[in-house]
Order: sequence, then C-alpha cells, then structure tokens
Amino acid sequence: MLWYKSWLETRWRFLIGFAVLAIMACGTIYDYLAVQKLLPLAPAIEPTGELGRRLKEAVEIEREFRGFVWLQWFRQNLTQTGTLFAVLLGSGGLLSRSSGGALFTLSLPVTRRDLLTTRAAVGLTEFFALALVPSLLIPLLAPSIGQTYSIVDALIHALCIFLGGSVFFSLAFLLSTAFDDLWRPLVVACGIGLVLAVVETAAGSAGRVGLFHVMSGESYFRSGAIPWIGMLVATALSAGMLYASTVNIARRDF
Amino acid sequence: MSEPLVVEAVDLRKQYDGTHALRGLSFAVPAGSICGFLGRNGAGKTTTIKVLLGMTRASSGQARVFGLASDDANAGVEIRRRTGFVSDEKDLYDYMTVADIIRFTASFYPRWRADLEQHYIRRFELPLYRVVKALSRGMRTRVAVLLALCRGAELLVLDEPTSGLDPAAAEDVLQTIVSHVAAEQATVFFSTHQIAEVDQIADRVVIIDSGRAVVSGALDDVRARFRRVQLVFEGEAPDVTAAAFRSPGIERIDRRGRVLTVLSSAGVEAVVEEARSLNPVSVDVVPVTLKEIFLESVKVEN
Amino acid sequence: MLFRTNPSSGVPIYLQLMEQVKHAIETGALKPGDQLPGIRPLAEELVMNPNTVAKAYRELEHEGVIELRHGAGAFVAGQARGRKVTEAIRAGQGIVATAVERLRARGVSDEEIRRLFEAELAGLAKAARSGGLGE
Repeated sequence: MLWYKSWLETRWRFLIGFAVLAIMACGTIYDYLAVQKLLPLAPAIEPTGELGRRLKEAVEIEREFRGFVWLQWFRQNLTQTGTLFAVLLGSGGLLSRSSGGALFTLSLPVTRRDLLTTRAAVGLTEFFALALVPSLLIPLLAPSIGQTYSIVDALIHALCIFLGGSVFFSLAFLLSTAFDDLWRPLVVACGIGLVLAVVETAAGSAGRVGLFHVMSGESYFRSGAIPWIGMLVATALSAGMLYASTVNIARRDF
Repeated sequence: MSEPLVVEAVDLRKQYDGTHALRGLSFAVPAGSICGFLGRNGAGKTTTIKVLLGMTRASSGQARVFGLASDDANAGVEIRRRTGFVSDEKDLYDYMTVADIIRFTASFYPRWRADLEQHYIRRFELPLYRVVKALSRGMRTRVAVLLALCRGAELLVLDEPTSGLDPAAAEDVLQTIVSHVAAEQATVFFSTHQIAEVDQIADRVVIIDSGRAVVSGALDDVRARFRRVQLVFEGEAPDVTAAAFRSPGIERIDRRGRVLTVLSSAGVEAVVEEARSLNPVSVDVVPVTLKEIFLESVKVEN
Repeated sequence: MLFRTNPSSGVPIYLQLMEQVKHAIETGALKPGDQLPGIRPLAEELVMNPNTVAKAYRELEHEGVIELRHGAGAFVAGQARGRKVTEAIRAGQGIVATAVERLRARGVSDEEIRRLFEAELAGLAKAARSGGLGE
C-alpha cells in the first residue's frame, strides 16, 4: 500500500497539473483560430539581428497548424509548465518532515530503497500522464476547428517532454533526500531550470544539445529525426539521480 | 536464566556532529520480560530505540534484535516485521483516517491480527472515520498502540507510551500492554519518565545516563542490591570516606550531626559488618525506592 | 477485588502479593480448595507484570500455601499444609503483639519499632548466610 500512500501525497499536485495542462491544451487549439486572424495584420518584419530573425521564423511556423502546435504547446507551454509540475511531483518525498509520519514509515518492514522506488514510480507515472493525456487532446480536438494533428506526432513529442522533464523530477527527488522541507528542493530545482533555460537560449545554435531542446522535440519537428541520443542521456541522468537518492537515504540517520 | 535475548546492545556509541549521544551502552532484554528504560531527557533513550529499529546507525558497537544485526538493511526489515513500535511523538499520517491507517498498516504484516484489531477498536472506542489530525492526544496514542499490537509482533518497543496522558488513560495503556504480554507472550521494551510505571509493570530495568547504562538487570535484583544503612553515633559521626569501607558499591556517604548514612548498591551485609566496627549506637537498614536508585544513579558527573 | 499491591512502597511486589494471599487465607476469604485467580486475569486486573504474579504463585507453592495443578490453575492448599502456615503466623502474631506492647511501654515509637524489626531481619539474613543460625 505504499503506492496508495504516495498517491495520497501527490494527488492534488497531479490533479491540479492535469487540469491546468488540459485547459492549456484546449486553449492552444482555439488560440490557433485567433492567431490566424491576427497574422495578416502583423507588419513585415525585417530580419534585424538574432531576435528579429527568430520572430520572423516564429511567424512563419505558426501559419501552419502543426507548427503552431509545436511552438505554442510543445516547445513553450508544455515544456515550461510541465517542468514546473515535474519538479512539484518530485519534491516532498515519503520521508521528509513535510510529509509527516517519517518514523512511522521507517518502522514498517520495508527497505528504504522500496520506499523511494515506490514514490519515484508513482511520481513518474503521474508526470507521464501529465505529458501524454493533454497532448492527446490536440489530435482529438483539432477536427473541431477543421484541422488535423497526427497522433504519432503527439506521442513522440509527449515522450520527449516526459524523458526530458523526468530529469527535473529526479533532480527535485534527489534534493528532497537532502533537504527536509518542501520548499527548498522546489526552489533550487526551479532555479536550476531557469538557469539552464537562459543558457540554452543564449547559446543559440549550440543550444541544440540542451535539455529543453530535447524536451521540445525540435529536431523531430523540423526534420523528423527523433532525438535518441538526447533521450538516452536524459534517461541516464534521471536514473543516476534517482540512484543517488537511494544512496543518500540509505546512509541517513533519522 | 536461559531465556533467549530478544534485544542485545553491546558497547553502542553514537556521535552526532560532535555530541556523543551514546557512549558505550550495553544491556540485554530476555524474551518474555517487560523492561523499563529510564533516563533523563537527552540521556539517549530515543537514540537507542532508533538504533535498535534501524532508523539510525550507531557509530560503533553492535545492536541485535532477535539475534539479527540492526544496521543491516535486510535484517532490519525482518526485525521490523516482528516488532511493534510507538514513537514518542506518536507520529502518524495526519491526512489519513483511522480506518485508512489501520488498513494501510495491516497490508504490511502477513500475521496481522484482525481479531485484536476488532477488539481494540471496540475497547478504545476509536472513531474510524475521523482524520488522524483531528484526534486528541489520548486517541492518537491509542491508535498508535493498536497499530503496534495488531502486527502479531514478538517485541514491542514503546517510546514514552503514556506521555501527555491523564492518569486514567495512562493506566489504560499499561493495562493493554500487560494483557498483551500475558496473552501473546511478547517482550516489551518501554521508555518512560514515570518511575511508578516501571515499578508497576516492569520486571527488568535499564537506566541510561549520558549515553551509558548505569543500572541494568532484573528489577527485583536491582531493588535488592540497593540499601540505605543509617548509623547513629554517641557523638559526632566519624568522617569516613567510601574507601574506608573496603566493600564495593558504596554510592554515597552522608554525614549529618550524629548520623552517618551509607548508600550501597552492592547489598548490605559487608557494609553492616564494617559499620559495626565503627561502634555506632544503632544500625538501621532501609530499602531504597526505585526513584531514589534512579536519582542516585544519574547524578551529574563532573 | 481481593488483592491490591503498591508498587512504590519499596517492598517487592511479588512479596506483597504473597502476603495478601496468605492474609486472605487466614481471614477465611480463601478457604482450602478454593481456586485463585489465573495469572493472566490477575495481572490484567492489578495491571502488573504476569511474570511477577507467576513468581508469587511459585513461591507460595514452594512454601506449601497453594498448589499449582497443571492445566487447571492455582488452588489453596488442602487442610494440613495450610493450617501449619496459618498456625505459625497466628503464633507469630501473638509474639509480635507482646514485643510491640513491651517496646511501647518503654516509650519506643512505632516508627522506631518498625526500624528495629527491619534491621534485625537484615542482620539475621546476614547471619544465616554465614551459616550461623539454623532454622
């Protein structure tokens, strides 16, 4: 019944995240209509500098539904909000003082590894649902505005979000084994996320090896190339941090 | 005397950031006994309990429960499968209801006693659908006790089980413990500040002070060993030191006017013999209460 | 409730229980052949350690005051044995009464009388150990 306890502890974060992302996904679809009306009104932008170039590129991409979905939903909203909820779901832990009953939990006949594994599994499953289900709403609802969106595209992008975002989940998870309260792992993980985002943006084309780049599935969008290496590295990073969490907890005194 | 040892601590030491919580603690608890664990605040009681249950790792020394090493991860699971625990904070899951937490806990113990569960729910009048957070201190303790007793455990480790309870509720907890031991043949290791509780239900005692066991053994033996011998003299009592008595276990000598009082922890015969050689007018032997034994044993050492 | 023990009095609880059983037999509250409460129910009722109850019962059996019948429980010993103990105690009561009366006549207070008895018992215990007095 550790699953049940983990669920009880994370369910509100999960349900709120689910609601928020579902609404945003729906919003994306209907936003497309609004954007389509606005685009012709945008004055022609001369490509002045990096920023100008990007703006022009964005406008071009968004003319198409597929491009719009990629830019607005996968690259922006789901990546950002998804990262936030990945961190939220990874924080707290079963044994921190914030969740209460730590000594009671430790008096149960389970190893600390089991405790952590269960909590991580539940959290990651929830995050996977957060990445996948709202994304599937897009191909589901696209016909209502006369568009179509490939389910395969949705699946692959959702997978990228999940694997990339799981790095942040694992980071928050690891930090929760070091800090006892709910807030510090959250703040530190989000902080690291922000720094990473800034670095990736500033790095320009070199940012193609960045984590957020993998999450957004840009290479798949542009050329259909699934970012296997990036996904593998992200998975390895997550696994490494989760393993480090079990080591951390194993040697800790309560 | 050939009872197997359910709990064995051998020279346990524990250091936390410079403070020495345990400094060579050694004691044993034989099967079927009820052992009272006394000590001042900060003496190391809770640390000891945490070491026994694998929540904290000792810096050195050995702790064995059921003959298994407490600091081994797998052995620890086996130990906890057979042990019922109540923490001093009665720390439970605030957000679960009473029924939920019972079902949750039961799922971990194949030997869970559903009959005892029903019995205690009735006896303690537990509000099954109230959230743990909303329970009074007494109710919380009762829930914690139920969760510990229904596991089919051979050993109960209770950290201050009656703290914060009114006398009636405390007596109820003690009676629950006693009837469980009588019916299920469990061993109990409980810490408390109430010496009267140890007097009442324990048959073994461990007194811990500054991380060491200063008194340990069968309660009747401990009580028999400590005696106060009062010598009255014609004139001023002689100024003798413990060394002059040439017998071991002289804990204290008080001199007041014509009266010399000797506290011995090693029986009284040798003291009485020595005492007679001082030519007192009278020799009185008085038993010492456990409270006095405790207070004498935990005097601050310089 | 027939018995009551005081854990903090300094006298070992099992001794208190033994004394109370004997007293109950003397006063006739328990007659030869009567069954004593079981160890478990008695421990629960008095909220005391079952091992202590068991010890008291064992000692009482050793002294011949009660009989432990395997599987059936504890019973007050039959006529002959019980009476011997009761008679000794009754005689003792007389001896003690006389001694106390005499000491009081000399102006010794009750508290001092009690101390004298305890000291004497402690001294006797020591002497018996060194093989001095026989019983």
